[in-house]
Amino acid sequence: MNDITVGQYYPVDSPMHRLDPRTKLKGVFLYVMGLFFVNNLYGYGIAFILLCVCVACSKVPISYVLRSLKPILMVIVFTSIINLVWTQGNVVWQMGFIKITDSGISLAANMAARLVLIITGSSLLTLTTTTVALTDGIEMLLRKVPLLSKVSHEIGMMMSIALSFIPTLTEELDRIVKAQKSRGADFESGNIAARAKAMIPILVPLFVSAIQRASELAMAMESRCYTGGTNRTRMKELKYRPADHLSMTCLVAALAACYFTKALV
Amino acid sequence: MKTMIRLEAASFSYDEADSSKTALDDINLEFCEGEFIGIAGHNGSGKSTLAKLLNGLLLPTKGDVTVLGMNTKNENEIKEIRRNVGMVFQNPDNQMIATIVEEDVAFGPENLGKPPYEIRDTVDESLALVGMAEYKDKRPSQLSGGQKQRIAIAGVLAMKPKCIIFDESTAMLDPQGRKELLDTMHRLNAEEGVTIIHITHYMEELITASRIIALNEGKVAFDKTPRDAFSDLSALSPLNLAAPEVVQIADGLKIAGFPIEGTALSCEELVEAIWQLKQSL
Ligand SMILES: Nc1ncnc2c1ncn2[C@@H]1O[C@H](COP(=O)(O)OP(=O)(O)OP(=O)(O)O)[C@@H](O)[C@H]1O
Ligand SMILES: [Mg+2]
Repeated sequence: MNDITVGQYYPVDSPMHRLDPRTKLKGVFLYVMGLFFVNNLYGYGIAFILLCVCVACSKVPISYVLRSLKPILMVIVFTSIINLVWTQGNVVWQMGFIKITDSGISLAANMAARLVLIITGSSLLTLTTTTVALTDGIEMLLRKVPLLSKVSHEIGMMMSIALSFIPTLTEELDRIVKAQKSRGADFESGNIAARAKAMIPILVPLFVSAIQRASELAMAMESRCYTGGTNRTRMKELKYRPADHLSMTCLVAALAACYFTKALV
Repeated sequence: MKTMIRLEAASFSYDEADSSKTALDDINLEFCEGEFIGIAGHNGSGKSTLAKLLNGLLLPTKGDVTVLGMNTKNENEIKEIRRNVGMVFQNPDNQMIATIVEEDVAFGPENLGKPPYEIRDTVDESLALVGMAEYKDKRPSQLSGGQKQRIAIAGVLAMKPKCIIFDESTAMLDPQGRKELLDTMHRLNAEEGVTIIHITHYMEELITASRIIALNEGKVAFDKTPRDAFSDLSALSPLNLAAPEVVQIADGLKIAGFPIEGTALSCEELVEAIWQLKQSL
């Protein structure tokens, strides 16, 4: 649980925290989409500055934001290496059969920059938005999507519950693993098949307990008058404020600038 | 006193095919407003089933349960019934719906369709009532078990219920947490006039109740005041219930040949009784 920052809220009060979750969701969506059109240094520069401004506005410590990169660091390194050695182009450096080409370098740099920006950008969303606000925002946005509008509340509720159960189930998993180990279970040795088989005594109790918890939670929700999304109000209603319009405009302007950097090169 | 909840010949069976295997069998009970009712019984005696009948989470297979005159079988009134009869469960982790304390407390009033500003007020009020106002922005995982249970109470209080059922809510707490929760229950009962139904295995938690109802194999074994219940310990042991320590000490003294007067329920009462006995000797 210690390494996963995605889904971890950092509780401080900041302009970024106060933005409407819908603005942040749309913003991250646009940002990620926008990054796929960027292909030069200037564009990444603007995207990077944009991200830095957002991080500064969020008052979340840099170290905290960077922590979200740790789980995918290997992925970034791996894809970069693959891109470096596998791309055809003009050879700039060669050792034995390993050739590094100019287009390989540019592709690897592009991919790495994109991944880093996307991951930090989207983890900034979850760092500055409570899961409740996040699921509310998703629910409200889904209401406008034609096929999903009818089930938007259910989807929002499901996500919110799934997120709030992660810490409990992680603890449970830990307990089960310890319990099975103390009975002599061995998860570390043997081939893949043997190890997969060793997971069964962990997964079965985990599922059983998850289902039991879910049924108890359903009882608790029902006894607190939950009857689905109809006639339900919210304590914190989502409302766009001037800051939301302003930041949306800035974001679109910055992304447009990113796009038009193509003309520079 | 006004009747809060009434059970009339209520039976319940989990097995739809074979309704002779009853978890509750022909229960007739009446709970009045402002009472503090203790429910005891061994594992599987039907306490949780009874609790779930009281706010319509389960419907009696035979007989009726009425809450403030509303039958739990009436689907149109089930929301009103559940608003009036709140429930706090045993495991605090399995009743937290939101990831932030105040959002969790707001869940009930939100379901009732209250306007946002009103929800804000009731949430703050309910958190203050359980003494957790300063924790409103915390995550439930940052709280102790006892604190989580108090949040669960606040969540129920936010619906302004007339009655709260605690189904073994003290079972997973340490002595300190148990004491705090029990104090909260008594305060709500005395100051806010909330009817409390407290299900527990710890008989010493029921000394201060207005009534103790013992269940055995789905039937009501007895329904007495604590003093009457603990004056006859031979009635407790077949139900697998252990009397509170003070009562056991007094009983031990009686057996050892010291004729102590009455039934002492607290340490002070026992000391008083022993003192009186000493003076009369
Ligand atoms: N979901 C269920 N399905 C089938 N049978 C059940 C179910 N829940 C409880 N029972 C049975 O109903 C009877 C009463 O159970 P109940 O949970 O009401 O007891 P309890 O007094 O609350 O016990 P405990 O002290 O363990 O909480 C038991 O015999 C139990 O096996
Ligand atoms: Mg029970």
